[in-house]
Amino acid sequence: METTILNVMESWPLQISIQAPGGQETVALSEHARIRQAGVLIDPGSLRSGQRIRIVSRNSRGEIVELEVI
Amino acid sequence: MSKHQASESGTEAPTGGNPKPGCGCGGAGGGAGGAGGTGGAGESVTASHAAISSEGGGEGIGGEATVLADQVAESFEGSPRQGELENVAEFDPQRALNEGMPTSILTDELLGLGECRPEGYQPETVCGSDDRTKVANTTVAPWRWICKLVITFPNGASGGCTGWFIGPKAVMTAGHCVYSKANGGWARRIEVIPGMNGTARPYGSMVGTSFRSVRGWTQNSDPNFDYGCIILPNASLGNQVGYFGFASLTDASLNSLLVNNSGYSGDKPFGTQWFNAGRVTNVTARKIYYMLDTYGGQSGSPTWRFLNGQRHAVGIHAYGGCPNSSTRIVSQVFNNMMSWRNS
Repeated sequence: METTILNVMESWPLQISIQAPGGQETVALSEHARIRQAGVLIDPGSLRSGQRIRIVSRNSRGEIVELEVI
Repeated sequence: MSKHQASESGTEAPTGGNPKPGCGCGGAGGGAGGAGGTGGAGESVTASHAAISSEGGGEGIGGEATVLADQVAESFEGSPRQGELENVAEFDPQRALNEGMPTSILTDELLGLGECRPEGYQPETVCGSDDRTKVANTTVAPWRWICKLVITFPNGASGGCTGWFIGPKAVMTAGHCVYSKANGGWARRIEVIPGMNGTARPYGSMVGTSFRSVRGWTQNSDPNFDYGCIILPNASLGNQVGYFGFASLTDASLNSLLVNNSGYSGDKPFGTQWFNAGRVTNVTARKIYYMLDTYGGQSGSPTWRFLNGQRHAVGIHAYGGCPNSSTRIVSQVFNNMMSWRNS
């Protein structure tokens, strides 16, 4: 799923609100979520509003396990 | 329906409406829908601040958003049972202030800060260079008013945030720390650990299962209303450690205001409290923006003004992204906080 980050909430793990077909959706990152940009792992603290992302995988709780910043 | 209507855990069922897209950091007008507020058609800004409790029932506090005059609630130092540790005056306020700021801004309040010292400073990039400083002594005010929160959500997920006492039983935090749509709604339990310092719990802890927020957050996920509160079972912990004052300040009072923030960052050793300070860079109707360094885990931490020996929180830190931002304590927020403080 490709979408845009609307907001980064600084709980730990992070929660992000993203563009969704119905408006917006709030999703949580898993504690050890892997975030890549241009193939390189980056820190969750690098996430920003307005970034275009691809959610690669989620766990059974719906938490993002793997995410790619496009 | 008023967004300021109270929402309580256990009884509040988010409406299935069409939540509007959230706004990005720094958006003018303070959020989707502009000054008229967000949420379903016909809902007012006043409605979004309707206070909500995790135990059901509404508290129905409303009011105008525009802050015409400062409102201030005083802090309370507390009556600790154990002696306070000696302060170590090695903190260099210039390091926190120099980030993009002229050095002439140094004020007596920062020069007089002797309550934390740099420890193991490792340059990192948060908003520019990272000059967060570990709070060494968390048994003195205001650091002991600030709490590590360990959260258990309905879907079984665990999380961490920061909270701060505003009254003997009331611990303020971000809305998304007490109510998380991503994790199934109202938190099941939150352990409140004031002044946590690594593995040390100088005041022990208390578990809260009663929470407060507002409809603007629980129903509409509106970032402009991202604030909440934990109501503890009794006042013993809050009376021991003391609590922050808080204030609803005008735009003029907030613009370029020197503010402080401290909380429990997820990228630092577990249970350590980290401080940063700087100036407010932008103010909107319901948010305060700054380039203070923060990280995941600091949601819910206080953004406060230290002036003439008094500490007044002016915002509740909630969002990252540089600039980072707090939910601004405006009149409706102030009124809800007073109600929760006195509950």
